[in-house]
Amino acid sequence: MDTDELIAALAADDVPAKRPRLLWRVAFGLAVSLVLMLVFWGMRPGWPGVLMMAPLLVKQSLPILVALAAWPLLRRSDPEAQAPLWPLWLLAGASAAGWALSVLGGGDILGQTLWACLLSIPALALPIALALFRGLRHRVEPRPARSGLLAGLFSGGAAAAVYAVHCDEDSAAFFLLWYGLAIMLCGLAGRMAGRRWLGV
Amino acid sequence: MSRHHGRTQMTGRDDEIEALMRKALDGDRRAYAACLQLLVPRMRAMASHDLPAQHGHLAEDVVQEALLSIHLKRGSWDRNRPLLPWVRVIVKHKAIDALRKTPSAPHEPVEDHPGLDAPEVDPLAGLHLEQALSRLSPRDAALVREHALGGADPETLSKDFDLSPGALRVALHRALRRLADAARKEEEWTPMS
Repeated sequence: MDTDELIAALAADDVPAKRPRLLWRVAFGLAVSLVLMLVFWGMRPGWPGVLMMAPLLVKQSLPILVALAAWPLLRRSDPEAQAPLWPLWLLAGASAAGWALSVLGGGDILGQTLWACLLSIPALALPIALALFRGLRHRVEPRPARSGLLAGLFSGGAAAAVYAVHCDEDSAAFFLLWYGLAIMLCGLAGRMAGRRWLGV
Repeated sequence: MSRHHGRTQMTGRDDEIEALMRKALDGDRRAYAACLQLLVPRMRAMASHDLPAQHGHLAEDVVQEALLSIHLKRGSWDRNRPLLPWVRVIVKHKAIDALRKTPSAPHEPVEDHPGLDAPEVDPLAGLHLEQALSRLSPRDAALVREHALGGADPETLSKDFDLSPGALRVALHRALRRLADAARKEEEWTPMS
């Protein structure tokens, strides 16, 4: 088939061009994830009130910061723009330092709900990641693995913030380690998915 | 990269191409075809710039794959940004992919053999797309081919494929998606040297 014939076939396709619409898709995925959490996991008793305690405020806001740090890296209109990754590294470093301090202070590392945490965060990340990847599929992604990793980290961070509404493990030694691991797990899964499904 | 002074007259100016793409995104199919026609010479120049000389024969395949990608992802082009740099990124990465998929066996350009004239038209151009088409279901391949001939009457086609006009549109769109996927896959890539 020569190039002119290909152009004729492409011009005959009048299905409107799909736009990435990342913000809308993510809002939808996040809403699904929130509803799932409220229905199947349930809000912890006295949730918004407990946020007045410093470690809980950290537990609730740190994953949101991870998601916020990954977001600008995903939303760029120039396909080859490279945003710096240092905000994510900074968050990881601060969390690791906080975790070490908390362990030295005798915090409870293993807690009671370790597996629930490690499994729930990726499960709640799935609706967000699916919505995000549907949008990214319509975009030119010259570095699919990197974009997939960032999409996974964003979904994991957002899902951890959702899960924190349910989780009642309040030791920083617990949540910094296991939330962090769960978010990284989401990032790795996103990286693999990106290699498989994203591209130019 | 985008403005070759000698070429500007022949292939349209950047802003003309961009204006056509904007119209195309608003649903003007004739503007869309014109836009792609104007882009192709630019994309050929980009592809031959990106490919080393001994792989120059891949240029048309790169252009065709890039056209499919532009078609499927044109909705992500930011209308406030120039179009040509966006196209440039796609062509560059399609060229990288094409080189990655091609075994490094030395290609002997026919020009090096005295007495053998290089053909005017490259007989291998479009072979990669043909191979991708052959990996589609017969119906998908037929849908693409029928529309490629141009001037196909939608009503006759709906009857031929036993689809309502709406379903025909969607079927063509999906066939083109699968064609782009098939063209990107590495399997069954046969070296063309």
